Amino acid sequence: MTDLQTRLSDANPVNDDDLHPMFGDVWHRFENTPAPQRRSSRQVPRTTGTGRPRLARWATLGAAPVAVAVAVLVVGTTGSGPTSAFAGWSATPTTPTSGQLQAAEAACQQQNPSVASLAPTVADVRGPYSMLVYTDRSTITDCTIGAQGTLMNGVTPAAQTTSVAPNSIEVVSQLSPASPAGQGEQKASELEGQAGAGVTAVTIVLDDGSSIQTTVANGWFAAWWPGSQPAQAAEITTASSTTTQQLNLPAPPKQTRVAPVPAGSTSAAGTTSVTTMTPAT
Amino acid sequence: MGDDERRVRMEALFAAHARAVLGYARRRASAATADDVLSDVFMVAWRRLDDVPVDARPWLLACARSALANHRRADRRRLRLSERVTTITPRQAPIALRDGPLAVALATLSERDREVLLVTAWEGLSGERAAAVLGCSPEAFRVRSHRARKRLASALQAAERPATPTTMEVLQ
Repeated sequence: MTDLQTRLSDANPVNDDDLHPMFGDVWHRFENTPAPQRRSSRQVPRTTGTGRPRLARWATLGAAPVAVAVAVLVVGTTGSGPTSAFAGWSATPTTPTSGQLQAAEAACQQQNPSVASLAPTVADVRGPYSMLVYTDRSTITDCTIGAQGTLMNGVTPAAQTTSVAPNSIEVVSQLSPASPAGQGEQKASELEGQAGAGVTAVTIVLDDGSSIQTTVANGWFAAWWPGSQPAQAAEITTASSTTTQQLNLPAPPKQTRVAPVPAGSTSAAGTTSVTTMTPAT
Repeated sequence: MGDDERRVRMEALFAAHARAVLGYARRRASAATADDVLSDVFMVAWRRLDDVPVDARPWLLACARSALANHRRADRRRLRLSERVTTITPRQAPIALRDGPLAVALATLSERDREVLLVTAWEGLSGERAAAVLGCSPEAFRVRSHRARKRLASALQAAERPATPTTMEVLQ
């Protein structure tokens, strides 16, 4: 009977790990299903009219020793309170649920076929959100995937820093709001970079004093947070000490709005790094 | 439970179980039907969130089983109508198994016997959780499972005697 059970199991025609159901698809159908038992729209927390987060296409550039790109992520919310778009987000990385990273990788690779052959350099998980950072010699690709779909997708054609001083960090990409959120919209900020040898943890300190613990892996660190508070400093932990490094990041410009730029091109300002933001599809 | 809490719980439920629900449906129906079943299940879960137990997997799979049965009934109705009106393609596309003799043997079993066997073999559930999916007691499940295995073994012996096709419609 054991052989029979094994034979049955081996005959399973569908591997669950190959499936990538998206919450947004189901949510969208639910919102568009005229059912008598449906909750009223006032009771249903929504993201946008289409049920998907909306990403604004703002991107500008900053000057720093390493390439720094500044962009803005705006996620729509409708009457569900200021934090509902990022419900479940955590200032401390969390353990991914079963299949969470695989689903995020699939979604990211779908939007960025160039990373299909890469393993994520950093996988930063905060509740239902997975931020994946892929790096190679010429580009940094990052995706933030929520249960309702892709929140953000960015490609930064920035040269990797070849050597970071031990026990220090270099910010490579910063995504932060550049303009006020519209009504029913909510913003998020993101920071990623390289960590020198010996760095075991990096905690970002924001202007308002709050802290965000980053995920450190493979010589890189990454984190994102709701809101527009800029990063002020980083607390860098090594095996023997914790030091604070002021980040002195360029402030995001005001009300600058540019269309997505092909990877590798330069901006009108002549700087060398561009973050291309594409809306969730 | 407030709306935000409900949304968070729904997202957590979806993250933890959507693949299993979709896989369950996909193993038994076409991709289009499976997508519909996934939506159906989570709409039920949304409406009855307070009823979803902590161990949600069996509850959700039981919903999926019920939703699949509804889709099959709808397909049968459409087919009956189509005989009088025109020809349509049923959405209930068959699943093909590579193990031909096993496919033949499974096809000879009743739907109830197949589910008893496959809900453990393919969904990876223990007897107690599988019983919850099928809506019977663990004791009844053990008895049904024992009998279904015997019938499958017998059918498999018969199926392996003659030459068999490499694929076979199983779950219609």
